[in-house]
Amino acid sequence: MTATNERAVRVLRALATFALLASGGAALASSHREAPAISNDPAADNTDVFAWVSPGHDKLFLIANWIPFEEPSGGPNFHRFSDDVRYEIHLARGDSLDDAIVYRFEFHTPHVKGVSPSDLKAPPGGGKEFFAQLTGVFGQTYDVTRIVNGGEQRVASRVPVAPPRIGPRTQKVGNQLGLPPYSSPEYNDTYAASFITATEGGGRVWAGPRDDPFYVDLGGIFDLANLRPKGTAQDGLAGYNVHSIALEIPVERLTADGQKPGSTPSDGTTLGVWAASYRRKVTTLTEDEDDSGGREGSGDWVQVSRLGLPLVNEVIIGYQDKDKYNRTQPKDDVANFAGYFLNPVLVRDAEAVGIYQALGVDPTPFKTDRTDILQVISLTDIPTKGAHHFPASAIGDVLRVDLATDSAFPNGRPIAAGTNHEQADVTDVLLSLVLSKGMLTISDGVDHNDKTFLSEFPFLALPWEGFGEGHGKVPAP
Amino acid sequence: MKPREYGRLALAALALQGGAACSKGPRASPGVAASPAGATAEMRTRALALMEPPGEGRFAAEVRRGQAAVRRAPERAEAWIALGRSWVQLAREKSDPGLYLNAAACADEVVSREPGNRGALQLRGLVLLNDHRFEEARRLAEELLKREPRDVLALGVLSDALVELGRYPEARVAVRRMMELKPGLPAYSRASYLFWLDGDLSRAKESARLAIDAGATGSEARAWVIVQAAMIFWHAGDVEGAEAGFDRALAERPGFPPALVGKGRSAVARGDPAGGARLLAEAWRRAPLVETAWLLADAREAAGDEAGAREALDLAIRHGRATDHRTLALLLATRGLDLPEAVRLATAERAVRDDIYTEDACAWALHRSGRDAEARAASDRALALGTGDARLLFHAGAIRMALGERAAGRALLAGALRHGAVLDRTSAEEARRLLGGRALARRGG
Repeated sequence: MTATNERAVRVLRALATFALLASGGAALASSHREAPAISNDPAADNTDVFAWVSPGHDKLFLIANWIPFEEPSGGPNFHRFSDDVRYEIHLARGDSLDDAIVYRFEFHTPHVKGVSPSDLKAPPGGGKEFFAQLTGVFGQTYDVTRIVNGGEQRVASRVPVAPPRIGPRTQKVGNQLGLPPYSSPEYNDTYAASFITATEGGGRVWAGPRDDPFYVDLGGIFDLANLRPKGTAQDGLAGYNVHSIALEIPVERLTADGQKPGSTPSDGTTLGVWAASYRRKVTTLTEDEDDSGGREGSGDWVQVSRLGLPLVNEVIIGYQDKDKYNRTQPKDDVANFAGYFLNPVLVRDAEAVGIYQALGVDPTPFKTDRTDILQVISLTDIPTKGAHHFPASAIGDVLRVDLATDSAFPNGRPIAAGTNHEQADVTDVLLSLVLSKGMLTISDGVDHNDKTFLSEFPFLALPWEGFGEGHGKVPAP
Repeated sequence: MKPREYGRLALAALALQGGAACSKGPRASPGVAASPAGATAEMRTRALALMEPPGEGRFAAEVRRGQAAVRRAPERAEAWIALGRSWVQLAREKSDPGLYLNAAACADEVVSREPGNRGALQLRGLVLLNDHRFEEARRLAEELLKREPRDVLALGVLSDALVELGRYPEARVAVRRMMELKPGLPAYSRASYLFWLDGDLSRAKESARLAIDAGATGSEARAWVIVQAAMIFWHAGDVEGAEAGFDRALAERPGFPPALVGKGRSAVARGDPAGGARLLAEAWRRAPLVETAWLLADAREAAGDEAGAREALDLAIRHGRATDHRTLALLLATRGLDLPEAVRLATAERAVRDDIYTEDACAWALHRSGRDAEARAASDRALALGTGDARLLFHAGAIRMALGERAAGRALLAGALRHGAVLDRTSAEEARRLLGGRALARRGG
């Protein structure tokens, strides 16, 4: 049989089966286990990293967010940090992309009394514990560990997490009953700020749900850069919350010599920032079967997500390599992903759908050899000519922030405190850079957040409330 | 340089022109007109990929978006693969395996132009699994892994195929590799099932808990793994605990068919066969599986609805002939309906897969046909892992009794009845009869 014939037969067979299906009843119903092949892991999914120095250059603010698209009214299982995920913020220093300092956050949800699901002698009903809506989940706390050269120092212990903003009754009743997180009858900025906690050695920390501070026309960008002008573009993240960890750290805790960094920008005074999350592996092998020499025990942590600069994994890295990106390190980005940075797929997509043709612009210079992208993300001549000259070995997807000068994206990524936007529209900056080397201003048409940021730590706005601000609609009568 | 200091050009024009490009409609892909027959096949493949998806849910919308994308840029392999994945997600969301054909068409579209395309071959692996072509799925996954050893999706296909083929040690290695690359719901849920097969309930539960934690609330994947976790409790005889799990899956995904089946089983076990029958009928309506129709027949019998039970049994048999020979073989053997056919179907299934459940079906059909020596050998293979499944224990016990090994047989039967709710109605009654019926409270359904 020729290949064409074989193919035709296969397609016909498929169509015949399909006809059966359409006429009622599945012809392919299966009796094997269909374990999911594709699954999102929102609790471990990094959404954003912000980093900037305070106006007096005496503090660094770090904000890392996880759990995209939190529906405010998403009960009964309201979103929270996972007790089974390690959340970390990594800081590299100067020319190196190795960890100089790591802040690790580990969460603990109080155990409800009852039968342990792993107790085989437990009486029937044990599964109920396993599946119960845990009553104590909003009493979640976390520990903060600072790791320098492998040495671990606990800088905050059992810090309470701000609870989800479920609604006025929850808050009021929780407060009347004296339940731990509900120290106020109202969920307002003062209440949220009461979860700010000092860390040992100076600095402060805050963790909990916030309004997602990012604003972007997701619908437009992911429809092959089908960009819309302001006024018709939609903020795909409007009305959703994220879970956020905010740190404020005195700069002396971050420099190599423990001193203030001065006011001359340089590679040496610059940090590379990224966030990452990890899950434990469970080994399915017995000791006999394990040929790794015991190296592959259960309980080791595996990196499952990371994020430095905004939109890199979404816009730059190709579909088939997203897992690889999430499990690898910034210091290996050039070796692993240089092709994606140098020959951006987005440019070819934009060309395929006729964007350059419409503009009368030749896309050829934007398609290959984009060392300019690597230069921008490693701050070459930013903020002033000659300020930075990182070697190729120090290029990776990290957010650079120079402690010796005011932050302005891509040197840091500041929230413009007290306004409804970031210091720079990072989506527009990156689209313009990738699609046109910055020669055109290309915008997604969304230029501000749907909430106003606070003028002080932890900066991000209150989370949307489940009762009154969910995405539900009043049904027609 | 300040980031905002870029040259300026009106964006509105760009956006409008981008929209205009869209209205050009689908373009022919290279090679379509190779031959008239080829063109027809190509067009049919494409028609299948671009078929209107059923419903208005999230993945139906994703399929439509994906279709718009491939219409705008049909030469982009990535767009076809993304569309194929959306079809797979939709097939799962709708519990409609027929939609895998649409996913297969997307893979075909790409493979016809790029025979080695990894994303397309991954899709094909999922389709092969769904079509019970386990050996082919295994070979394809091995091929993909030869080229890219860190392909997590291929490892998932490989471990699933190996489990169905009864090659458990290799399946454990594949899951271990998944775990090293990406601990998450796909890896944890597979580990949990392998632990359960090995009779290690404690680690099965712990991995199931991690899998649930790593899933997105309300997603089909997480609902699926919640039901899998609940079944661990179910098999251990903890009906109340299992039902809490089925309830939770339904709270996150109303109408989720596997959870409805679980609720139906639970209702029957609690002594409410009429309520159970209603739930099982609804589950059947949403996802017609042979086992569901069988459970429905049992529930209706227990509720005194003889006509309804006959109808459900008839559905199970007709559907079993078309889709699921192994479950049909068990049903025919259990009910003593057509023993030669049961043996024929069960033993033929060995050519498709040789896991412990295929061995169990063979054992049971052979036993019912009086071939107890052969049945015993198959049953031993079915018990080899130490799986805590009352059906396997019941079959093994009955076979031993028939061979005169009364002590071993009684122990196995008692073990099976301890978790009696797991057994179908016919089997539970028979197990009690074989044990002499004394001192055993009426349990199971």
